[in-house]
Amino acid sequence: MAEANETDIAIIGGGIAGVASAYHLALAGKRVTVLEKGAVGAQASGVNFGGLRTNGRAMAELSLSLRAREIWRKLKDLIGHDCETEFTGHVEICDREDHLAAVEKWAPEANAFGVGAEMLSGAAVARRFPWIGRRMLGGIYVATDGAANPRLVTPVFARAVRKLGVTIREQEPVTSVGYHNGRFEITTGKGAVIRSPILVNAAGAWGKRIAQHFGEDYPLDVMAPQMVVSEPFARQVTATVDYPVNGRFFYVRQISRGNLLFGRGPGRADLDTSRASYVPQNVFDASRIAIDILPMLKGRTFLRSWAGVEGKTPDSLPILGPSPVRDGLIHAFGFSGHGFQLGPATGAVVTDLILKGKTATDISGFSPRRFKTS
Amino acid sequence: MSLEKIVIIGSGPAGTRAAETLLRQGCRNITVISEAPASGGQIYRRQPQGFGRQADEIYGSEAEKATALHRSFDALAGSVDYRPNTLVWNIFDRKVFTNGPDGVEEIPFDRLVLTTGAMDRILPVPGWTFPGVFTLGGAQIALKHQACAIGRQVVFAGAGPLLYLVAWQYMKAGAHVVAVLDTSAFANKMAASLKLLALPRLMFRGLKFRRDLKAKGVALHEGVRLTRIDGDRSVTAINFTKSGVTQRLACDAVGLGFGLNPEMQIAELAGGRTRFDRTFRQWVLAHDGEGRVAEDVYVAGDGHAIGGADVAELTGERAAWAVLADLGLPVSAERQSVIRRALKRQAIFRQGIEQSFPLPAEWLVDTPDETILCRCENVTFGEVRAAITELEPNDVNRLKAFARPGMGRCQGRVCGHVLAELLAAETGRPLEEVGRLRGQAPVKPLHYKAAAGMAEAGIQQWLEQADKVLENG
Repeated sequence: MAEANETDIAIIGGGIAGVASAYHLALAGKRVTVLEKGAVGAQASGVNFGGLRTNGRAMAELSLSLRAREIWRKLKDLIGHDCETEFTGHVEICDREDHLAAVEKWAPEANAFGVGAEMLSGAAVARRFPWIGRRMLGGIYVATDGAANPRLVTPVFARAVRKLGVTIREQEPVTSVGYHNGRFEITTGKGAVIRSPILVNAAGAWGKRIAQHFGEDYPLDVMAPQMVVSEPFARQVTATVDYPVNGRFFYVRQISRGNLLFGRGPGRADLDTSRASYVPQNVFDASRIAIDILPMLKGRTFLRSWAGVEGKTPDSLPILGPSPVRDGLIHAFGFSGHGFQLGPATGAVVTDLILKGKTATDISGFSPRRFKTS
Repeated sequence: MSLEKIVIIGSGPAGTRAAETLLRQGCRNITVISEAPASGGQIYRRQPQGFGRQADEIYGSEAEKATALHRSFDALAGSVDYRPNTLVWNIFDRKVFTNGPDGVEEIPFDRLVLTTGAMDRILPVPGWTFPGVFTLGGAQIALKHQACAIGRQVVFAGAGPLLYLVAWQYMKAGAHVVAVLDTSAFANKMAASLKLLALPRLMFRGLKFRRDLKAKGVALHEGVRLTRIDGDRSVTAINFTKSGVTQRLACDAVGLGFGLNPEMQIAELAGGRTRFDRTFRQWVLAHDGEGRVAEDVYVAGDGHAIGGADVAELTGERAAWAVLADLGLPVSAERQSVIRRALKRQAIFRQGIEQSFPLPAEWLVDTPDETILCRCENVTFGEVRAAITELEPNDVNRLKAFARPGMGRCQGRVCGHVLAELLAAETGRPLEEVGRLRGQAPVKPLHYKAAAGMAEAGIQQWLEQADKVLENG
């Protein structure tokens, strides 16, 4: 006998987008059930770089990103734990004229949104960040950006969400999703059936598969962020740095306990096994860049590498908004490697859409309708 | 003859016998990679060049086996691509990633034979991170390799055959052994004696160690519970209880160990399957009975399941026969059957050893909160317990993510099994259900500079171009 559960809102995906949606909905008094095929925050939400940056974001993401920045600042009040959030600033450094020109164009537009970006000359980069071992043409800096520990954020969010009465069903993959008599009907691998008038698809890299149950076929690819972490050493790297080399960003930060973390992709990911692998060439290339811009790494070792599974859209913007074909279905997936910082605000936007049918946050660039899906 | 590229990792008893058999049967493209400067593995580790001790001084009753193994390796070393002093730190896309005297290299393989050995199994006792506390294996290597003792007044504590062997070797070498503190009661050994009789020579050798130690006045305490190691800057004493009575022994060094854990990280990165073994109370590699653990990947020796040096030699040869069979080369059914029979006796003996020296994992629930569980990352039992209670991790990898144990230099090789035991005990779940820490590259720390040597040319070009831009600008 299948176990039947009625709820106001079902959310598929226990990543940061899904759990933060549950949080805001529960605060508004809704009954919510979150379905997670593994453990909460175990995929892209848990294994990413942990960067909380507004700097360098696509214009289409800035409204959401700035809303997220406000929520991150209050994280401890919201969920009872700061999850190692720090606002140490983020700098994107430039050693090419075209790159510098691009950030110079971006800065005033972004500042119109309230980002607070500051252009730096090459000399200012050297003065502000004396540990950067290369001369630069310039850079762009946002003092209020920061980072958090992604391994903690979603599980701690989940703990807070459970306290608000939300049911989170972990280790319960969704086996089928249907719509009957005005209700979504979701069957899980444990044989449970969850019925709800509203469904949120926050299934990350697997979001395409959930959407396919409704005949919507989104162009979602898989990507695998790649991370490498060092042995701890006295903190020198005082801001998060982004540096593009050959069209791909190298990004690095040092956590307060001293370990230095950098990333540079792409890796390899498998949706069926939910596992990603670290491609060794990435660590070679990233290490070459690392010892060049951070000469203090020359005598040091790294300890670990890892990779995560993440969904990527053709324009690297998320699919966030109501389904064009099914009333009551809200998509919030495909964050293309940008979803961690956006996560808390994504939850707020999903809640706006469900409770009010609209949101003050500009999500026009994320419309599911921008893709041909059938 | 075969020119398929066979890469053997390890040059101990298992790696040596695997290489020897493959070479003798016509394999002509063999690479042997070893982290050690010379062959022999841990058990038959050779002394540095220029040291003049005789084999029987170093290896005791096993001198003949050690010498034979060294000779076998020396005879084959010239016919294989032998790479000593070379760390294997990753396996990816049918390539072995090494770091050796010439830096980082990628070595493609057709077949991979893993003989990666074992590491001491430790149970943290309050004070276990004081300088002067060594693993039993570490204490033995200091003596075997460089003729050094770990202290002037040494206590050996823990469980397992190595406990008495190392104590005996120290005594023989003239070190002052204060006591042997065996956490297993005498009754456990009595109960296991029938199984131990499967290999009478080894059993009687063990009894001789005890007899000799007693005759020299070394105190033997069995069935003890280790409660605390005292120290200020280094070890000053060890405390234990026996039959409800607490005792304290002054000492300046402690050799501590509770058997061995297989080193399986490389096998795991190569796709090797693992299974939980209840007898060993640990994870082992799940091979097909002949050493096949994944497609074109073979395992042998303590690295696939703890069995000791003799088993390592046997399984090393067994893995070689499996490779030869898969290459379509002739195999000796007779040798395979001899190996099978010998391994059967060894397996019964090994069950006896496990029964004689059970891991006192039940201590862990009482280990004080302030005791360090992960010494690399300085994570205490209390911090791990808090993460278990507050965030309810369902397995050890998740627990590692929450509280950092196992994230440091040793990658959880020391504390991984402790973490699993504690999570199982604190949540009342079977040990096998909480899983084991996944192997991640690099298996051991790697220098950025070494890794940078393999960067693609485009990176260097970008950086050089950047310098030009700045010069002009």
